[in-house]
Amino acid sequence: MQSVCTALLLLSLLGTALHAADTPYFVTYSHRMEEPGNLEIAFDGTTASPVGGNSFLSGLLEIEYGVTAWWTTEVYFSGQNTAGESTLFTGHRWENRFRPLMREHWINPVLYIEYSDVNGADKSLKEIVGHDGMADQSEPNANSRLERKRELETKLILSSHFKGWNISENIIAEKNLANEPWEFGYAAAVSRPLALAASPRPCRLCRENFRLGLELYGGLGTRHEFGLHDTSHYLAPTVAWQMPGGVTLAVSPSFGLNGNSYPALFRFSLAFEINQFGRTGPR
Amino acid sequence: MKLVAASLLCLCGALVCATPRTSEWRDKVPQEARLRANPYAEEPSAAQAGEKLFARYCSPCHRASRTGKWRAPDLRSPVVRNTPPGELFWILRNGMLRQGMPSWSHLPEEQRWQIITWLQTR
Repeated sequence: MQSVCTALLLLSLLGTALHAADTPYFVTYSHRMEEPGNLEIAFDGTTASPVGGNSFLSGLLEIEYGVTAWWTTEVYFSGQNTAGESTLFTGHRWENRFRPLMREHWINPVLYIEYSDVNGADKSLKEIVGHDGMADQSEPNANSRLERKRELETKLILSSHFKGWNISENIIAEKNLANEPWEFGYAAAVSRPLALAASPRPCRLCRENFRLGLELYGGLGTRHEFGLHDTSHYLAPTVAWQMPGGVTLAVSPSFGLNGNSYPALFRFSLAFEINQFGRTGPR
Repeated sequence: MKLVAASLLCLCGALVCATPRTSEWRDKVPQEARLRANPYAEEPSAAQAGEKLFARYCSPCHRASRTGKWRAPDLRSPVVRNTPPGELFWILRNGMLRQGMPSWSHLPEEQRWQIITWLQTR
């Protein structure tokens, strides 16, 4: 964890022209793609103190690249620290997002496909599917790390922009490749900047630099037991601040909506964007 | 294994469907979009805000001097200055994804108009 923080700090000192992403979501995706040639590096943290379990801090290092204006690819490396147990690397993910329609519509679809190779100790809670719940993650790291999960995840991302608001819905289907049934989940979110027009002068705390949002996400059971029974759900207000110097800071307290959910999660994210990575030459 | 093969097939399908094709953007702008007026036209404060937004969002590709870089065109040309603002607004909203111009629909309409105000008053 310390080395990840050091790496991010070093990157911030590079002095490259940077600006960062502007959506405040932690789980939900909108149809915004990474600009072609831009590389975004982000650190997402999630912490919780589960009832009857040890508190943990999970970290996710994201490296996102805009291959084209309609294709974004991203790799993740995850790890976690559980109090009184251990700190460990839990695995990696590779995701791709494609915009099949080349123009803006009322509802804009994006196709998402991800391959992940993580162990059972992963607590990044990047999405909630199937019957995921707090009880699954109460097992000690020493045991849960022995389980290896190779999963394929697909999402249908639907998203709209209307009068400054973003409204996004994600339908999630995930398959553990070890002959387990498909698991389903959902995520939905709305967000809006505090000001729609930009102020004429450079400023740090202008209202246009802040974006507020609300996320709702949870599991929908499996192919054999589809529905809300024995699933977990969260409601999460979010706020993102686009800081000067090209950094975006986002935080989100998340609240569990039923007994299977963590009562509270706290998520935070620090993102940097390196513009036109590797494209420094003249025209 | 079948699942992985099917997923790869879907991935390839998505790539093929989205294979870039070039065409003239101006032909694609609907007439009603072309006729939209810039609510901030000639407003100095909007142009100032537009300059700030341009530096943040557009200059990485088009350069601060607007001379362009790689596939991003030179925005100092008379074509940009004389194009109806509604056409530029349509381009900012939709992008030209196949040609590498991203959609800026996630920026509020007001900010997109501010950028256009700055581009057309320079």
